[in-house]
Amino acid sequence: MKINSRTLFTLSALVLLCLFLLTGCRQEHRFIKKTAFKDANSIVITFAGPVDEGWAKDISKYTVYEKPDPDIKLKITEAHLSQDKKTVTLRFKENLNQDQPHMLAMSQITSEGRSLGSAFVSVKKLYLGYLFSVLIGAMIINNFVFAKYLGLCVFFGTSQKKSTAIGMGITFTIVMVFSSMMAWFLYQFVLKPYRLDFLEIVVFIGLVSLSVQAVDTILRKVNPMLFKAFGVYLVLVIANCIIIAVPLTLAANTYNAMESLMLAFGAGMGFLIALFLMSSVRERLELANIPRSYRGLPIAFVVAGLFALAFLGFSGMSIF
Amino acid sequence: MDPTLVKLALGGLAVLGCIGIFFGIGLALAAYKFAVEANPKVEEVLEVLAGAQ
Amino acid sequence: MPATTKTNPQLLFNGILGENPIFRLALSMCPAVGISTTVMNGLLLGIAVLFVQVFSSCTIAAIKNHIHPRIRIPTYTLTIATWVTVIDLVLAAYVPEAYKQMGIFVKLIVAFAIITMRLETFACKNSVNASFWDGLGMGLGFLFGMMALGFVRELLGMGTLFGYDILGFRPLLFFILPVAGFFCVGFMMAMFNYIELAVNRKKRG
Repeated sequence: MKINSRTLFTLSALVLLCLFLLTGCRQEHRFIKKTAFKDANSIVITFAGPVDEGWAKDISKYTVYEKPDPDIKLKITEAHLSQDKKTVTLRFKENLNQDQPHMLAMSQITSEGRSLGSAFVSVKKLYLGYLFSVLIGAMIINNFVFAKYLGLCVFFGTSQKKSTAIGMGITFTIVMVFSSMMAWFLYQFVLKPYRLDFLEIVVFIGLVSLSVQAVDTILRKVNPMLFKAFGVYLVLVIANCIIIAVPLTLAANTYNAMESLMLAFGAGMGFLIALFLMSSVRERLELANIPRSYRGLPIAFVVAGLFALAFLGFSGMSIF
Repeated sequence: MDPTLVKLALGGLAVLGCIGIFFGIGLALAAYKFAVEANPKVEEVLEVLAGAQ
Repeated sequence: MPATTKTNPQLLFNGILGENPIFRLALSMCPAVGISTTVMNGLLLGIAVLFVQVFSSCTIAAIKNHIHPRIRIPTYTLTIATWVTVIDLVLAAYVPEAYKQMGIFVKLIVAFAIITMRLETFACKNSVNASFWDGLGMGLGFLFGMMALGFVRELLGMGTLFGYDILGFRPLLFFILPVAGFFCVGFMMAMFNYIELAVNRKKRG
């Protein structure tokens, strides 16, 4: 199991570059941070700063139409300004066709007495983008190890060597995706309709053991080489909090099948990233001159703390 | 006892039982189909070594 | 490991000092980092773990002769899951505010390595009585570990204990951040190691 670390680095740098490009493209006016659909008949506009109430409440300043037919202007019934004066909710007379992108023109935006000119922005539902944001959210922004502090036993146990770290991460991701999808399915279609959601812990942990056992049985026969490489980590998967935390998160929120898949995959990849980062540092630590009382776990904890501080920088970031 | 509670308990038993039987049979079939001839000596050795992780 | 020869108090203190789950065995670190921000949190989660540990140890010790060795681990997991469900529902009903603060961690007791480890190495070979004392010792060891961490973090971070103002000022606000849990556990482990090294050196003369 040998993966060139330079290739990995280049790959991750490329992914990050794409991310920044994508986020950069969305900005259409410097004063408007975000536009989105809300409910069936509303559009929410988020501004970078507070806007004047007199301007915001005047519905004649807004023009909205569906992108393919600019002649049909949609009828606005009310413009509601939030408490902090940064978000305006436009309510429409009829329900919006959210599959179509909408164009929104605002004339003479005034903020604190100053005019900021007119803005012309689009409002669209980006489902793929949303899925992607769920994935990145679980992988980096809410990384289960560094931002939610879960799965630490296995994290510290298997991050001594890069090869171990990658093996554990891959095994974990596979089992995670399998068991979470089964858990989501059972929860949505069996436990919830029959009001048996108090059994969630028993069912979810049972499903995890089952998937581990199934992967173990099948892999042992189908690919003994792979089993030799990854078999040892299978047992450790059950002892990892993340594997049970993801189904519980799925049960507590209303995600659909695709979003659940993305969340589970993101959680697994996030664990892999955390393990890889940590093992890279710990391989160096082996050679460093550390005070005797700090050797082994204590210094690993301090390093993990520094990583967590770094990951704190991602918090609050939204992609789409 | 409250009849709704009894219903809930019986429902839980039924659902858990069904899941258990379904996956139990599934795993048993898988174990049968993908059986690997284990060397009995390996298990004997492991038995002696057990506990040392 | 054959059946234990230790007396009950010895088993109790083994869990609290000799094999402390947090500082010695370094198991179940997630809650130690995640929610040990106050003494109260540590106490509540400690009680939950104590309950689950004692009852699962007793259950497994009572039925150990009827478990087929091949399905040993799944049986342990399901037993633990049952008792976790019980304590989860009880806490949600009687202390809803504290339960909300602990969030997902009560449910995650089911995946704590310490409980499965004790069932595997102790309860499946010993009598119900011995398992009870061992479970009690391990649970108390976890409780004290969590409370010690909560004590340090609450005192240094907020200057309070159990919500009462002790110092009147906040020496190190950093410690109240969830991230500081990593540093706190690291420093305390290093401290334990340092004391052990110093004691050993003295013994050798």
